[in-house]
Amino acid sequence: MPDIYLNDPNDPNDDLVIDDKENKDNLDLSSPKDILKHPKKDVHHLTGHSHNPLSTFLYFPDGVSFIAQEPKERIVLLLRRHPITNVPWIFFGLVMLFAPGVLSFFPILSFLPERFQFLAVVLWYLITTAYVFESFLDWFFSVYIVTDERVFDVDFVNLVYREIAEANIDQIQDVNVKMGSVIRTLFNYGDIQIQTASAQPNIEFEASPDPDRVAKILRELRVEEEQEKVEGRVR
Amino acid sequence: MMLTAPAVAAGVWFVVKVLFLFAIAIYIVFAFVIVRQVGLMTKTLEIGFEIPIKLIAWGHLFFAIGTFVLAVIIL
Repeated sequence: MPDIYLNDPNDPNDDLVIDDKENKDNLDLSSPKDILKHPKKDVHHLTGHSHNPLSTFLYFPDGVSFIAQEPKERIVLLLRRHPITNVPWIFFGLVMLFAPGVLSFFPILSFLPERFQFLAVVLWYLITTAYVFESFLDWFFSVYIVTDERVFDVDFVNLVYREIAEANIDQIQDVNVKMGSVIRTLFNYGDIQIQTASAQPNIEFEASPDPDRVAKILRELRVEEEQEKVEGRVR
Repeated sequence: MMLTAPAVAAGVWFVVKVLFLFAIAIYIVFAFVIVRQVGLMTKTLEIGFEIPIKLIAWGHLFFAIGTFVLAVIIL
């Protein structure tokens, strides 16, 4: 029987058993690499972790999956454009909503019989519904996904055309954050440009919330991926 | 044969009715495409908000079909 028991540092089932005081102090419990090393770790207390499906920043989200996901691939981040970017279409939708009421003071449809006028208003509200719904769908489903292996930019270009750009984390060469306007600084959102060595040379996360944190997470994932390569843990 | 003014007016409004119905029919096709689009999107990304979005898409389609039926009845 051995006198000394050594933990296997690569054992994912051995969750956060840390005897060494120094190592414990160095462990960043919100860092993606540490969370990925300890899959059983509770992520619910992490800043950015949310169960709200309308959230724009989901860190280690629960119950989220996407079409290109590999069985063991874990979603680290799911991002959408910052909610403030929805203001133009919400404003225009409200204008469309109240337009028939305002236009009733200016009888531009008075040459039509009343039943035609009524139907024209119903048709107007149909178009308004479609405009608002389409704008919402565009925002809701155009997402940026960062997993432990890859980054994805999912775009719905028009009604039936979908575009998914992806690159492996280890193919990321450079990550640039662009903010630079009063509104963007005020609401803390910006564009993240990811230069890659893959077939998709540029992936851009537009109007991403908290771009500095996203860039930091990407940087840590790159380091972790390099470490995996060195240690031969590549999936 | 001389057409009377009411007959001409009736003809004009009939044409307008057909145009209205045509526009709504086109809109129904568009609403159906939205339903298909929502299906494609929810297959691409599952995030736990699929049912409300699908309900809105189908509600919008039925709203469009209802408008067409209403137009046939009242115009």
